[in-house]
Formats: sequence, C-alpha cells, structure tokens
Amino acid sequence: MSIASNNAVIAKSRALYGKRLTNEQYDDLVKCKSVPEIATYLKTNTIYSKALENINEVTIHRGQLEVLLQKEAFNNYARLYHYLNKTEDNLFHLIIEEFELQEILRMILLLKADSPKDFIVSLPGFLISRCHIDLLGLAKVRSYDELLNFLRGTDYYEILIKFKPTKEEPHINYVGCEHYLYERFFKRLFNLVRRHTKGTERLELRRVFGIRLDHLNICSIYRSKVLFKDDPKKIKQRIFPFYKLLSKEKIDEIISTTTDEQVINLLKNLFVSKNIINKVAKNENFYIESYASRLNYRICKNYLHISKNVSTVFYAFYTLSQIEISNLIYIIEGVRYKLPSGEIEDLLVR
Amino acid sequence: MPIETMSLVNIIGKLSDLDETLIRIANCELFHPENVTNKSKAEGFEHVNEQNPYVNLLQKTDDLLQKLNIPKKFNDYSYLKMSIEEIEAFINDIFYKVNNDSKEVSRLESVINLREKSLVEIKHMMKLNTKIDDILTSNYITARFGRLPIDSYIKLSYFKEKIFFFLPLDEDKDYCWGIYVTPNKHLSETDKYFNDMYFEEYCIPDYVHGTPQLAIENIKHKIKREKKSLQNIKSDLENYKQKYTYKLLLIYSKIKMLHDSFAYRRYAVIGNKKFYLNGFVPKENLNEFIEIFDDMSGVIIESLSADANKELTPPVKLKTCWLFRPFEMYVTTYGLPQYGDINPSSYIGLIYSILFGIMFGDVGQGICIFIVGLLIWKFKKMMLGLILTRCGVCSMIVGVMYGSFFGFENQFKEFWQMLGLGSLFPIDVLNPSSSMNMLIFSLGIGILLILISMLMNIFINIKNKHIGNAIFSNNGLAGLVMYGGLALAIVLLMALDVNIFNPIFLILVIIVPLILIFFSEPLSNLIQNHIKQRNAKKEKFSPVNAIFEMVDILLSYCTNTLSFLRVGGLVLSHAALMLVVMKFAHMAGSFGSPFVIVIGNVFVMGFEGLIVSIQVLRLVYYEMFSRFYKSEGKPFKPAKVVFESSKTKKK
Repeated sequence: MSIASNNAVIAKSRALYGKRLTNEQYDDLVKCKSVPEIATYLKTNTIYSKALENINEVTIHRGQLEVLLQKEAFNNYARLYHYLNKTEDNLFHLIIEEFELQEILRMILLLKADSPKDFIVSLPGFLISRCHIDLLGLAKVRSYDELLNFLRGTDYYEILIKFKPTKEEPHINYVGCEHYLYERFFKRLFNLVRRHTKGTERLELRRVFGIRLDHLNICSIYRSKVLFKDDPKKIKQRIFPFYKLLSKEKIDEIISTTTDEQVINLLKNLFVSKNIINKVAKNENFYIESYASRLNYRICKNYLHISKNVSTVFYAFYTLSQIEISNLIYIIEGVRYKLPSGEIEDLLVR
Repeated sequence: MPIETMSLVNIIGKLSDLDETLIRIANCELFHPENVTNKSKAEGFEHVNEQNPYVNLLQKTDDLLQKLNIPKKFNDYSYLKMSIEEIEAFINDIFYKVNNDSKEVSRLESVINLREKSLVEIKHMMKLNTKIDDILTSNYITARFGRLPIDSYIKLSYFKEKIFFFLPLDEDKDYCWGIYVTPNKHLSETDKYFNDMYFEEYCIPDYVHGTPQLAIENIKHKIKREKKSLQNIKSDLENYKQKYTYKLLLIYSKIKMLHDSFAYRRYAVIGNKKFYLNGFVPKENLNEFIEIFDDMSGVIIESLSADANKELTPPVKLKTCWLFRPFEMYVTTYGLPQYGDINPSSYIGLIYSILFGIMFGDVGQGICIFIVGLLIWKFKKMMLGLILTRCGVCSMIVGVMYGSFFGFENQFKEFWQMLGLGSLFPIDVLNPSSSMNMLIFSLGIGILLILISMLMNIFINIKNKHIGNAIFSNNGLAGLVMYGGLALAIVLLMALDVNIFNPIFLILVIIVPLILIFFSEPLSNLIQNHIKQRNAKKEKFSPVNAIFEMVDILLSYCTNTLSFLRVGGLVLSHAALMLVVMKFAHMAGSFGSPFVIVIGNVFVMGFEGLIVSIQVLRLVYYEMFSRFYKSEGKPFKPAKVVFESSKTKKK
C-alpha cells in the first residue's frame, strides 16, 4: 500500500473523528424529551445532518433512526476502505465479518426465543450486499437444523454443529455458540495481524486487540465468580485463549479462588484490571462491561492520535465510532422508555 | 452645580374635570405625580380605584393597526370630532371586516401550502398511468401510497411469497416511493410488515382524482385560483389601509391618550365631589403649567415650595450645561443625587475628559476618537458618542503636549518653540526622568481630586445642615486637615527638603483630627441634637467598631491615593504600545509599514481606549464619588403617554 494512501486514511480518520459528538451535544441530547426531538437535534446540529436530511423528524421510528445512524457509521468505514489494501483479508473485511457474526448470533438468539420471524425486522439493509452469506436467506431460517443446513460449507457450520440440540440437551446453548464463534473470529483477527503486518503496526494491533480480550476475560470471570458463583470448569470454557497482559496462569489462579474477596483482591493487583475493579467495588450499580468499554475508548483514542500505522488508526476510529453509535442508541432507547437522564448518562462512554 | 428647583403643586377641581385635567397633565409632560398623603379616609376622602374603560377599545385598535400593518404613531387628534361611542362603533365595524379578511388570508395560505406539499408527493407517482381513484376505491384490495427507506426496499425480496406486491414509482438516495397493494383479508398482516420496515404512508387528499398527471394539473389550477383569491383579499386589505390610515391613527392617538391618562387616576383622591392631586413641577415651567388650566374654571392650582410637605420627597431633574450634559449618563448610572444636593455632572465631565486626555494623549488618535463619537451620536443617538467627542478633544490637546501623532513622537517641536516653551514641551513620556515625573504627577492629581471631593462633601453637609458630618467625618474638616496636612508635609519634605514634622504639627494635624474622627459618631449626634433642640435617640458608641473603622479609613486614604498611579501607568503603557507598533512597522519594511501602522493604531485605539475609559470611570466612582456623593435621589418622572414611535407635541 502506498504511503500516500496510508496518510490519506490516517488524515481522513482523524478528520472524521474530529467531527464527533461533543460533551455538550451529548448533554443536549440527554435532555431531549422524545425521539422526534433527538432526530431534530441530530439533523440540525451534528455530523449526522446529511444522513438524516430527508427524514420526517416528527414521524420517524426509533428503530429507523438507529439504523440510519449505523448506516452512516458504516459508510464512513467504507469510504476509508477505499484507500486500504484491497486484498481478501483486511481489517475492513473483518469488520464486515464481525457484523455478519452478530447477525448469525442474533438469529440463534431468536431461535432460542422461538421468534425467528422477527429477524428480518432488525436486519440492517446496508449489510445485505456486503456480507458473504445471504442474509435474506438467513432470515428465512426457522429452526436450528435449517440454520445448519443454510451454513453448510462455511466455517460457521463446523462450530455450530457441536451445539446442535439433542434429546439430552434440547435447549440451544447460545453462550457456547457465541464463545466459539467469537474465538474463531479473534483467531482470524490475530492471523491477519501476523500475516499482513509487521514492526510497530503489529505490536500496536496486538496490544489493542489483546487488551480488549483481557477485558472480556476479566468481565467474564468477575460475573461468573462473583455474581453467578459458577464452578471453575464452566468459567474456563468461557475464557478466550488469547493472553496479552493477563497470563493463562494468572487466569487459572483467579478462577480457582474460593471467595469473592480473594477474586477482587487478585484482580485489584493486576495492572490491567485494578482500575475496573476499584470502580466496580465502589458502586454496586456500575456495570463492569461499561467501565471496560471506557478503558477501551481511552486506549483507542490514544492510538488514533499518536499512531502512524494505518491499520491501527483505522481500527481505533472504527471502535470509537461504534462507541458513539452505542451512546446514541442508549440515548434514543433511554428517552423512548423514559429513563431518568442521570441513568442515561451513566451508560454513556465518553 | 444645579439641580432643577421643584415646586410642589396641588391641583383641586370638580370631579367632572378630572379626565380632562389628567389628559392635559399627560400632554404637557411637566407634572411628576405623587400619592396624596394629607387627605385621609377618615376625612371622607378615598383613592380612585376604577377599572380602565378604554382597555378593550385600545386593544382592538392596536390589533387593527397590526393587521393592516400600520406603524403606530401620534397624530394630533384635536380635529377628531367623534364621541367615544362613535369611535367604538367605527372601530367595531372596521375590525369585523378586517378580521374576516385576515382569517380568510390565513385559511387560503394554509390551503395553498398543503396543496403545494401534496404536489411534491404526487410528483413521485408520475410513472403510474392509472387513475388513482380506481386504485384507492377498490372493494377487494387496499392500496397504500408512501415511501420506504432504501434499506427496507432491499429486504422486500424476503417477502416474495407474501400476499402483497409493492410497485416502486420513484427513488432517491434514501427513499423509494411506491404503492403496496394487498387483499383486504391480509391487510393487517401486510400493514404490520410494512410498518416494521418503516413505511411512511402518504394520505392522498380528497381533491386528488384521475391519473397522477391529471391530478397535478388540477392541483396547479386550484393553487392558481386560490392565489388569485388571496391576492384579491390582500388588495382589499391594502385599500382599507389606504383609506383609513389617517383616521385610525387619530383614533389610536385619542384612545391611547385617554387610556394612559386614565391610569394616572390612581394618584388622585376624591371627596366632596372634588378631586385632589399632588405632584411636582419644575419651578421654571410653573407658569407654563398653570396657563394650561386657564380655561378650566373648576380647576385650582396651588403651588408651594418643594419642601412644604415633609412626607413627600421632591424628585430630581439634573440641569447641566450643554458641554457636560452627556456625562449625566454616568451620574444617573451611579444614582441620582438627593434633592438639594449638588449635580456633579459638570465636575465629572471635566475631570473625566481631562484624565482621559492625559492617559490617551495623541493628536491623531484624538481626532479619530472625536470623529467616531460624532458618528455614534449622528447614527445611533447614543450619549456615549458625545462623551467621546469631549474625550477626543482633550486627547488632542494633551497629544500636542506629548508631541504624539498616531504614535510618531516628538512632533510639534516648532510649535512649542514658537511659544517659548521648547525646553518643556513636547514631553517624552518614555524618557526615564519623564516617566518618574509622570507617576508623581499622577499622585498629585489624585491628592488634589481627593481634597476637592472632601471640600465638596463639607459643602454639601453644611448645605443640608449636617454640621457634625461636615466637621468630624473622615471626609469632613477633620479628614481634610489630616489628609491635606500629611500630603503637604510629604510634598515639602520630598520636593524642598523642608521637614515640618514637629510635635505641634503632629498634634494639630494628625492626632487631633484622628481623635475627632474616632469619636465622629457621638460628636455628630451631640451637635445634631443641639441644633434640632431635642433629645434624639442616642445610639450606643462602640469603641471596637470605631477602631476597625479607623483602620479602614486610614487604609482607604492610602489606597485611594495610590489608585491614581494608574493614570501614569496607562500613559506609559499607551506610549509603550505605540512604540511596539512602530518597531513592527520598521520590521515590516517600506511596503508593509503603512499597514502595520494603521492596524496598530486601530488596535491601540480600540483596546487602550476601552481600558482607559473604564479606568477613569472607576476612579470617578470609587475614589471620588465615595467621598461626597449620596445617590438617594428619586428621578423626575412626569406623567406622559408613550406612543410607539415619534410623537409630535401638541401645540
């Protein structure tokens, strides 16, 4: 990839990030009283004005607004992708793969809830032409067997076949499907980094992905041990086997502890987790995943500003953009369901 | 330093003359009304407390003027020969017609707006070659026209086996317009699918018939017709406006006068079929005021001195010569003086202009300030403009002394040599010896102004018979002797090396005044009681309070004096800023230097000018006013009627 393209993606990513929502805009949005008010605000005061220029703010549905915002974010990635290395395996393709994965998991969840017909309603239309699998075909699936038939020949099939419901275990194991599908995804991610990057780019991407996975593991351990009191064997099954700052031995040590205080003390002493655990210990209502997201946000923001490697900057921009969309969805849902503004603000990552 | 002398005026008259009296009072704008205090309910008098009968009529007239777009202003209504009843009938008649027309205008505008919006929507259906009525009025199927997000349109292929079809008619980057059609028995299911995909239905109005092309033609025709009706009604309204503007303004002026003057009834009391009004009129206008009621035999005007009624405080109207009249703005901002006190506007005007000139001395910049002030007065009618003109002149005069012209120093040497003062002027402000002299000069100005303020305080207190304050307060004779004596002693010591700090001096000038100031409160009370020959309630003297007050007073002498150093400081900073501008101009070379000089001068005039004007005002308010000025005055507010724009005075 040429240096000019590198610089173009880095500059463009930073420029797009520069137009992100400010704290004042978030405060204004949280004070809105209805979805039309939020739509009007976004249309007139933010970077989303072009994406929302043709909407009818008064009648727009909450779901449609969310889809338009997600589409706008996706279009930004696509614009940046234009300048990236267009080999089969690149970060943008893996981002699409993650969206695809999320749709498959959503279908599994709907199958578990016995309402697969609802899949089509929330299916983002802008993904249909981008994903490798036929999402409209996926929408027609009505049972786990049909899902397996549909995915036959793909890597997803090899993983999901292991969780096919049986007479002994008739319920769909969603957690197991999610874990192993994501484990496959992360393996592909690390392979991509190993094969297509080198030097500081490789180090940075490994660090960014590694810390993300460490946080996922910590959240998983904390919830399983402290909140659900699961046994160590089950907890180990949920751990992603990619260790950055948190080693395998350390994880085993934490999992094998018997009391909550021991778990918390051990996690407090680790660099990667002490800030999270301190925060959670102080506030019972604090969601550990939310705080992990905040740390992830700060790391990505840092890399967006200082990194000279296009893949790092692109991925950091993607993460920050996704966080912004999540924030907007929290606000839209919160206002729609009349949550107090203080509670909505607690959910925001900024 | 004058304040307008007032006369207390009592007006007594027959009750039937009250309205006419109030109208004449409001018209002349000379009478400041007060509540009547010397007629009580026990004596059979009561305040007038009626509802204003002109409220509705005024409101209707206002609405009428607004609907006809006639700007409100005063017209001499003395030629209007209509009674109130006739006016009311006339207004009601016009109001009815204009109101109906206005409503029709609103209705037509709304209808046209809706039709134009429907035109935009129906244009999306142009590809449809069928009559819309045929689709919409079918017995067995239901059709819905609207738009679908493009992302949802892509998902339609999922519904291939469902009992509906969607006909796309138009498309843009975000939406696809079309019609979906379904059998009635599947309607709710189909509606649910399309709702889930965020379909926005557009309800086709009743007046849309035929094919879309025909419908568009019909709608355009209707819009054209309605616009023509709208135009006709608007021209009717314009005709009303042309025909009735003059008469309506006369009626408005009369009703407004009646309405607003009626409000002043609350100041009157009535009893024995008579009314009584109290108020103040400037003494120089008294004869003019009395003449207004010459033809009203039932009305008697009694004039007394302003202090005839102890319960009433005379209002204050400042009287300042034209040169310093703009500075009344600063005085009224701080607060009006009490009646009987002095009007400090001229004094402030003089000091302000001089200090401004000293701190902003530059001939060229002074000329610019003068011109800017003139322009502000001419176009905006703001007093600030006139203040700037005075300050500009002083800047020019002092600028000649500094030899400064737009930052170019050492100018006007020949002029000063011609006057024989070439050795003294122009003053090089940035010269180290000149700089020190400038600071000492600033302190000197400060001491002088503080002493003058104390003298003014003594004068005012003597005038108001507050002898105790005049003698014993820190701004009275005691303070004057101490502060003035100390300043004199220091000046003699520093300038002439004469030391007068001997025991007699210390006792007479420092210690005795200090003791008098310390006991100023009980001593003042003693004198006040002796003058008024009664035993007033004595407040307990607190030595602790007095000690703290002494410390505060002594500190204030120092701080107030040193505060005037800012005069010298700003002189130096002005000169230094211009020096920097000149250095940049030199660095910019021959091509760039004119621009740098112009921009630098503009910047310094704006920036430094603002700072200097604020600092001078601060010195006036804090260091001077605090010593002698009590802003407890009540403003003179004559009864008058305010029309929306200019008022021509009735002859």
